[in-house]
Amino acid sequence: MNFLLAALRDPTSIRRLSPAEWDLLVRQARHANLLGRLYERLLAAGLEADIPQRPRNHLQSGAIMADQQQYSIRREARLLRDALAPYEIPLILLKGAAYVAAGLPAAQGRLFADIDILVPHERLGAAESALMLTGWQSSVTDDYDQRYYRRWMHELPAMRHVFRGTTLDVHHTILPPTARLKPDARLLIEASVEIPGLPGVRTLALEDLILHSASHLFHEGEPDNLLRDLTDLDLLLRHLGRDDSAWDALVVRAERLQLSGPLGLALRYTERLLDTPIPARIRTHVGNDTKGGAGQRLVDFLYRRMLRPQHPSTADRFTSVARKALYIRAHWLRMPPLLLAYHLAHKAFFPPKPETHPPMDEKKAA
Amino acid sequence: MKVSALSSAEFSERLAGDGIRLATGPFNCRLQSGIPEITAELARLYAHHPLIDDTRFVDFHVAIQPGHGLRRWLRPQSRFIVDAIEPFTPLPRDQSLPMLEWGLNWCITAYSQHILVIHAASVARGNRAVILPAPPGSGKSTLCAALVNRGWRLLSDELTLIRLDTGELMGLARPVSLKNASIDIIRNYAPDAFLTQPVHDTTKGTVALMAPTQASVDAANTPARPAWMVLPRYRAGADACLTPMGSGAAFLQLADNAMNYHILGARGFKAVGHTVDQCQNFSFEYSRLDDAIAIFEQLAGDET
Amino acid sequence: MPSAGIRYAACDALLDALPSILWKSVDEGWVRFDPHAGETLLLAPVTRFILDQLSIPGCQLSEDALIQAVLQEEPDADPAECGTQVRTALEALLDARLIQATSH
Repeated sequence: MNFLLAALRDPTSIRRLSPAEWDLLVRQARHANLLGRLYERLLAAGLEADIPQRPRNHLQSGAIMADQQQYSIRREARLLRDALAPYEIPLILLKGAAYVAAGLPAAQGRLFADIDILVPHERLGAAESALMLTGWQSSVTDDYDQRYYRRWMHELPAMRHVFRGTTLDVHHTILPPTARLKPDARLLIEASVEIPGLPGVRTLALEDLILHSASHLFHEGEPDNLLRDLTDLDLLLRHLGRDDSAWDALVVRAERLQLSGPLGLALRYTERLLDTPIPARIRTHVGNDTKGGAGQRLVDFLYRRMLRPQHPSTADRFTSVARKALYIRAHWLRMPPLLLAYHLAHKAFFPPKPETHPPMDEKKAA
Repeated sequence: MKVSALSSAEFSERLAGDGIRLATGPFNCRLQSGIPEITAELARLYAHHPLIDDTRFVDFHVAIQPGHGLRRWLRPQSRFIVDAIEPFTPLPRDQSLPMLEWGLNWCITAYSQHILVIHAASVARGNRAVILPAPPGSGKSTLCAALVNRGWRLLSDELTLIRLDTGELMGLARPVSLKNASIDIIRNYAPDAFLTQPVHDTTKGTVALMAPTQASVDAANTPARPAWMVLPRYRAGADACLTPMGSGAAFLQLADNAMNYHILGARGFKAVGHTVDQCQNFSFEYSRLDDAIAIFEQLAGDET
Repeated sequence: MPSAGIRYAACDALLDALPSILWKSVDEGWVRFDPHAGETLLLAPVTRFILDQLSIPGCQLSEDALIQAVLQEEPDADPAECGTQVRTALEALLDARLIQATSH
């Protein structure tokens, strides 16, 4: 039973939970990195008194960790700005770091591990040098992976700061150059906005943050954070929706960036799973997917399976099949077919890394 | 009902099956294991802990399981698992029990940011607690184990827990980890205490676990207020000597030793400040355990 | 050593963070917590005093001016001793990057 999704959709449902069910809810939320967000949601719904002490401790713990990131992210943003400024490279934050630094509702309860930034493609080398001068190191040591990243991906291999331990992803576009969709990064950079209170630190415009989130939701191969990323989208859309005309601008922008497909899917799923309020005219405009029929139903089936917290309590016999299929689909969208075969084949020759997440169908006590 | 009320057959069956559900101070734990040889010692270590029924909320679902594949039999390993996550790489199978303790400590530091968690030992006399922060190798565990066997109740040998709302300490009363020389010292000092068979070649040397006293476990849920902060340092041949410490230095000691001071931000600052205000703060040098114990008795007696 | 011409002023980061700084009185002086910088510092009373004098936007003071200010607070203090204390405090604050030196 997906208690997490139920609690996010209808917070009052927590009143009916037994201690054992709260136990599962907390663990599902933790696996989805949504402890803090769930806590904020329940507080906002006036349900503080309905949370029993033990689960409250765990939820608060998650919220406190998320809270702290505000300070560390803003610190990092200033340090990054200072590192890039001498080279006249603008600092543009993406994703979680952007939500937190800009104080958006989507920052609520958010726990994340990396900072993502966008840099003009032609300045990528200079940016990497500037960062290395200030203590950032590439975390990819395998030569194959280095070449893979530089040639095919939309980002440098992740960098880690040698003292602070923060992880940084430097992107030059929001989707890989080999993907079938090619949103123009220059348009994103032109439309970027400075964050009030953080001079010299910019983020994508709100509609571009939404489109970025939508394009990643269904292109990334990692299922673990799909639900969390969907809650980000829900919060971003609600924030956008305070101004009704912004919806139309969003649709126009999506067309300009060739991201109408992902936007349509995103709106479909946030509405369906999280009851995000979307104006009827917008739903009609983007909701009709031309594929329709059996193909669309299969995609729905896959995504429904995956938009559950990746926790053994919600696994069923279809889940590991669905997971594999999703991984292949996401890669297909990103790379031409020949390349896909090369990448997967190479990986198979290397010994697997130690298991930190046992497969879904592993039974309990051996 | 306590763990000791279970027959050894029942204990084994539960451990291998749905798990032993018990309370360790403020945390409910479920312990599972597919490693039968730890059963007898585990049951002794947790004998006095209260069992909880399966309708209750469990804070940490943990398991110690055999290594995967070949490592189940060949140079056999054990793995620590908390709710489908393995935070450590596997260790030799004979280190299963220390690994369980390290794992439970990991759970607290990873999942309990709603309290101030300090890397320090703490013991209490009645409802007054002494906090003993100390880097590894300073003799804190030996001192802690000795105090526990001379009329002080054990709160924790590793993680001191301080509530952010009331400033009170919460006790875990879990087994104490003893290393190398302190194993024999404590055996002599407290012949009636239960110690597990020493396990060799761990990253910390030779390790044995000492069961908490029944009095400690029974009183685990009695809160204690911080009354003394003592920074111990073992120095061969030294006379036992308490030196008062300025509250500023004490503040920095506690903050430096707090696992989540930075995560807590302003809350951590206030909690550490409050603790330092409530305590008499000392640095402490000693060599002979009896002398050390006598000094602590004096402290307890002097407090009004 | 002549210090004519050098003035000290608060760093921008210090001024920005001012409203959220937390202080705690301790035996040795003060513990100062800055949530934005994530820093906790132990300051002697004279060090805090100097920091407070400089924590005003646009304020720039020379070492001599600061010594005078301290002597005003503590009229019985030995001026030479005071000078040493002030210089030590300034070094500590410069090291902690709370203040900066500017040539005038």
